[in-house]
Amino acid sequence: MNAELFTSVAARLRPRMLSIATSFDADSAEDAVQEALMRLWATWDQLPAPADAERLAVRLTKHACIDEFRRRQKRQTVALQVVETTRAAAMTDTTDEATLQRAIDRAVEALPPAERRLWMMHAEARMNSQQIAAATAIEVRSVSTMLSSARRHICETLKRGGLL
Amino acid sequence: MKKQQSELLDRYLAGDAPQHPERLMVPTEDELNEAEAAFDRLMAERQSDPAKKARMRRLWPWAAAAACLLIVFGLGLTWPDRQPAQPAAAIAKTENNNEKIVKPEVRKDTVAAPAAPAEPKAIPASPSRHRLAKHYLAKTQRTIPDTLGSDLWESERNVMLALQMLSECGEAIQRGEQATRNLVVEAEYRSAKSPFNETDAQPLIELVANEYGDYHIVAANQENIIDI
Repeated sequence: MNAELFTSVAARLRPRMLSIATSFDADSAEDAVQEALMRLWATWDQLPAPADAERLAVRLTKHACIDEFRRRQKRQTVALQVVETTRAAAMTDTTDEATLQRAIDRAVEALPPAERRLWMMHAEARMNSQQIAAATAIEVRSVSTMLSSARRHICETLKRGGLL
Repeated sequence: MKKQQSELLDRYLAGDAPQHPERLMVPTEDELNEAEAAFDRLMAERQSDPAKKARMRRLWPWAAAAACLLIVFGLGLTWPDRQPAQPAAAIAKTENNNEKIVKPEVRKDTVAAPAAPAEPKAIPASPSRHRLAKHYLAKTQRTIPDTLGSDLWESERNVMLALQMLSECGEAIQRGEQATRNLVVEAEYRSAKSPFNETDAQPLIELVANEYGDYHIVAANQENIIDI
């Protein structure tokens, strides 16, 4: 299916996906929908028809909800262990690329939730402003503004870390 | 910052260098099925959660009590609207059919609500009617609300206006009383001067008014008739 069709299908599917995710966990519903739509976009070329996209979107949403649920449970039980492991990895990993990637991850994590979701769609899924607008129910102009703001925040964080 | 790092960062900020491609990997069919089953199971568990049910059971009496209070207050608020408009009433028994008649009764210490014409209304005898009548009496014995505020008389202008209104009211009353008195005097005079008077001789009387406009009947003899 072509990329233009994704915009209309995503805009139509989003409310249903959000309803499913909200019924499971309202706090992480937006994140789950974002993840599901990013994966739907990644496999969009291989989907034969919009009906298949709808079925897959529902299943991806449920998968994202369960994924986030398990991540949270894991975070609660082994939080201390994760922190220690990360520190150890940071000490031993000396490659520049890895350093930059960690710094970027931290900068993205520090973004406000809405900006972070848009930025992930832009930077990781390579979605354009129209597609992001359809996937998030935000105006295209606002999407562009928020992406610029996210980019500025990331640069400022990297500057503070001495990487720019 | 090395050139390689700088290029990577530029590409990332332009959206051309994803850092986590694994996040875009579509799960396999088995993973999706497993996640879907887990999702449905968790949702079913949440809906039949015994702790949730127990919490709802604990809250049930409070919810019922709140609903009862709402109903009682709701009825209390709407009660006067659903009753026929009547003033404070007294209930008396009739002799023939053991029914009760509601008679209007004027209360001097309170102001009654606007009332329907004081037609006695027969209502069936019922023990609850006594309570309802008392309840309605209490509702109708309202005092006039102080809608103007307690600081009404702190304004000198308001006091002047009130005095002026009182004065005008007194004058109007006096004018009314004078007009009534004059009508009576005039009627006496006309009856005395009437041609159908039983006595043939017409009395020598005249109707005069003093400087305040009060009518008087005077004897019209030579002493008090002044030729102008």
